[in-house]
Amino acid sequence: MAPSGRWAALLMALLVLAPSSALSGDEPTDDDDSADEDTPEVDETVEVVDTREAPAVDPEVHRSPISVVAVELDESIPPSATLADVLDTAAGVHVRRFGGPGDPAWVTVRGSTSRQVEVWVDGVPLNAHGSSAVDLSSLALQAWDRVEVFRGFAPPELGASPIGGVVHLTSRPGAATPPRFEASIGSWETRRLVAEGGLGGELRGGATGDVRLTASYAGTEGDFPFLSVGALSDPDDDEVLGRANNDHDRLDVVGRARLVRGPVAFSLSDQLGWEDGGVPGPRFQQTRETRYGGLRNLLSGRATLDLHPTADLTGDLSWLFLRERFRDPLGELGVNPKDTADRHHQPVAGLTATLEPLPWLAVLPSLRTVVDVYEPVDHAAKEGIDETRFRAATTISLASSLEPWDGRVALVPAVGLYLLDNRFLGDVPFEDVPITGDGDEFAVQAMPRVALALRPLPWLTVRAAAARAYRPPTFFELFGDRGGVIGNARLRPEIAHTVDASVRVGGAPHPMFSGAIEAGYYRSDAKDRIVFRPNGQHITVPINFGASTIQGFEAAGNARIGKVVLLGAAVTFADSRITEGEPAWIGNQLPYVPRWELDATAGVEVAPFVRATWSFRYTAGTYDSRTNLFLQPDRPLHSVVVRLQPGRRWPWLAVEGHNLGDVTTYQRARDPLQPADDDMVVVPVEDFRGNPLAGRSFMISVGWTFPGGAS
Amino acid sequence: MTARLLVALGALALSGCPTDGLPDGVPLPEGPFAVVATSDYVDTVLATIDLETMEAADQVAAVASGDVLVQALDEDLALLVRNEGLVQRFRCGALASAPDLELATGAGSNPHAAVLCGDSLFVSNYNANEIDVFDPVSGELLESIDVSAHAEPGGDGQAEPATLLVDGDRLHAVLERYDHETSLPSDQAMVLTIDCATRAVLDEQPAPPNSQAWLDPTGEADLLVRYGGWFELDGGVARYDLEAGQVAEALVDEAELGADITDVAVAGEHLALASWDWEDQGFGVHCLDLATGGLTDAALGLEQNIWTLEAAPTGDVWVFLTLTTGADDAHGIAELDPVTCTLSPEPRWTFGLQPTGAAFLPGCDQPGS
Repeated sequence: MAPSGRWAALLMALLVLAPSSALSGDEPTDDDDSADEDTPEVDETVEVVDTREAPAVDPEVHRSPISVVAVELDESIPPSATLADVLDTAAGVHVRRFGGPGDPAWVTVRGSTSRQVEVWVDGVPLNAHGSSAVDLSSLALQAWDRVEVFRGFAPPELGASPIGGVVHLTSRPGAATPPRFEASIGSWETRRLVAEGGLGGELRGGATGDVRLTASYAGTEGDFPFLSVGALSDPDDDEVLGRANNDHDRLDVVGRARLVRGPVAFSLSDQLGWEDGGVPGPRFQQTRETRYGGLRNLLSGRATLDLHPTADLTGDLSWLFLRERFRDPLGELGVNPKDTADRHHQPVAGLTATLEPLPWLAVLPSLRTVVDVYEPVDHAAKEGIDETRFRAATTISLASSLEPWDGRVALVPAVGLYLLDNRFLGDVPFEDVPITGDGDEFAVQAMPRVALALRPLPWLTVRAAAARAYRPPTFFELFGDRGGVIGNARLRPEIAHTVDASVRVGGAPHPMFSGAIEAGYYRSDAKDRIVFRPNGQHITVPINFGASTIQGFEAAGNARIGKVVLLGAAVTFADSRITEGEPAWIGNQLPYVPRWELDATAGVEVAPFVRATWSFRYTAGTYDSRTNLFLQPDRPLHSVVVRLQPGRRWPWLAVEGHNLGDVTTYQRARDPLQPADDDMVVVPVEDFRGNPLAGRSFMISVGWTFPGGAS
Repeated sequence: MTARLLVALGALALSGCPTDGLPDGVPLPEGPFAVVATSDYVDTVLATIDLETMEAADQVAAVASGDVLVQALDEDLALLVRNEGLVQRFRCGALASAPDLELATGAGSNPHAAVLCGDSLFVSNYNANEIDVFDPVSGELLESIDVSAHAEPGGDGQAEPATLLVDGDRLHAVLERYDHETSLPSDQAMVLTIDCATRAVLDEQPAPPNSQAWLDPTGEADLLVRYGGWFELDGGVARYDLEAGQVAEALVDEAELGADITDVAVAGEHLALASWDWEDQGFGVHCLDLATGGLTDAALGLEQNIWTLEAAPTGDVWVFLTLTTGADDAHGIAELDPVTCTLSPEPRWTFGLQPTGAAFLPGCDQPGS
């Protein structure tokens, strides 16, 4: 068949044969995501049916009383996308980056800090109770099948109640994973390799099981160009330099095994990550030898026991180990040379029961204990260093899910009791100073929450939630890092009250159209927010920020038109204000919280042959100080991804272009208090002062999923 | 050197600063005034204080850097943007206009002090082992005096040129000689004496470790030095004889105070001292009569940190109070009378951000301007 004729046939086949349950106009149900069953048989000579596309309406999201965004991590995601890239497209979610590919990035939700967002993987917390800020660049996206972002109210089964929300990466058990390989190369010698495979099926004795192994490597030289500004008023002395000492290498291996026999299901996983890279430092003082490396291993096991048709019990155990090596032999970043290899351990044990005494009632009591162990190791120290520190926290929560009136109402009340034991923190840096803010070594906090959804019509959900959340200061915040961060043992815990409400409309009113849209309001009132404030040359100190209020609205929608055109958009407005603190700054906008964010995506897909997607991301400028003096510029970023594949059994090729407008610099008044047209300066665009962001980049990827795969 | 970039934005002679030539914008005090740097170490906001009315104006100008020093260059104001390696000069302190001279001292150079001596502008670059010499009119780099040969023996090879003191037609440059490999001051600092006309190093003399220096106003010695490391009662304040290269007379030692001496201000024949008792977490202020040697406590156990001390032309010493991490006390500038040794109970001036330094300008309508 001539190429043009083949394309026409494919298009016609798609248009004619498209109807599926997702397009039928029925109420979305949990079954709707298995498009395979509803996909018509197609003549083998026409290899056109994309059996893996995600529906435009996610039934779980549509019906949930919780404010949640879910993204399927399938081939619709650009091959080189990172977790930061994926999260950045969600309404209410903002990502701050240090620079280019592989550089650290952190997520915030609805104006929270990154420590107020907990990151979970397959039901296991990486930073339980906000014990750290998870660097998104340390999580390889390829090992996961779905990411969910819970804004404000976390699902009861996790037993978490962070101030900002939860990012939950999950894998889909039970399916055999066909072998696949991917490789990418792009700007600044950015490279990526992925290999994955798995087996699954029936075992002796009637059991079923599956195993899956994913290995990925990502690296870059990271030497993207940036504007090095000399004298501010003289553009002639500016230079374009390459970012120095910004190379990164990262290797991740994730193995999973699952066994189901009778009423018992076991799963075991191990996630091993290794990384090494340069720490480039600020653009006006690039480093030469400062390096950061780490080894992280998360071993976790989970068992679920179906005790009764109306009761099951799930227990999980995990052990997170993290070794962070930081070497600054010349004192380029800190006050002095530094060579540390701190170790963190975080064993977690959780137990959750699900009891369904009535068809419309579920009760979920849960218990989760987290122990934080911090062991400082300082190779440069000439004297002994601080002793190992321990801290234990237990959350006892009781939640229920009520869905009376045939599910037209869903109510999820929950209360968590947070017990924090600080008695083994070791010597605090300053004597006679409270370490939980209120002077207690043993803190108890109650965290009530409630979420409500009304579903008067299959295509309509009206929902609202309210929560009280608490986060104690972390080891890092209390004790610093013996380098650039000074601890502050006087910190008080953060406490916040959040409310949100939204309306969801979704469905498939016409066989050629399906779509969903959600719009809503949110508000968060936080007290004693902990922020890092520079306190001298190369030194920062965490402080309590007084009080702040963040409120705004979010709206997001997506649609499929004729199964060929894909549209998506998300918009967030945040009005963030300092409401308590030093009088001079009350009423000012919170640093780093953009007032507006917009993401828009338009794509054309003729699966699996071609997919072309254009994305536009707009982020309003933010202040990086409470003074609200220097405003970063608005950032309009355009990206394009084109993916080609001769057939499902064939390898694919993808070409990506990001930040096509090469937005890297902007012009601002030299002195915003004395703005004048003839007194302007051109400086780099930055998320963190002194760390320029990368400009236009390209990436080429190839991949092959073995047809037939494993079984 | 490609990194050494400079630009001259005008060829204004320093012979005078007529006020009618100043650009429009924020009105400057008519008489002498102080420019105060306030900072949250992200941004710096400049304020002014009229030294005749003692009224302050906050948020006069802003700099996108949290690490800015303000210094007087005769009638002019110099801003040293240390983290970005920039020196900016504002004619007569006219902050509303663009700087009339801007010098880029190079990435990572960390300019520490700028002084006019003879016909040249000298800038010490703390992290670059250099003292740069510029033509103050054109901004042309005349010479870089390499001081790396004066780094501590066996140390990190860095001499850390810091304080610059103009003594007639000579310049005394204090090299701190901090050893980054041991994270400690080396055993000796060093004072270089430089001929401002020829830019030749005339002399080099050892100084006590971690020295800061001031000209001795009594003339009994060449310099006054504050010396000693931190967290150790090993230092003090002394008269220093440059020719002999040794301490001539100890004035105060830290053991006597039971605290580190963190800063000194020279106000006539009196010294103001800031001390830090790290065990009790308290800063203190003391006065020393250079004529009698009498030491008086003005305050002990302050809740705030003392960032620096500055001797004002009014005869008072300004005490720059910044917040400790847990304290709720106000930050600002308190006044100390060094003769009676009385410290104002509250900061006399408060600003939106914490004050970190001040430069005192005569005002351009002063006689001789």
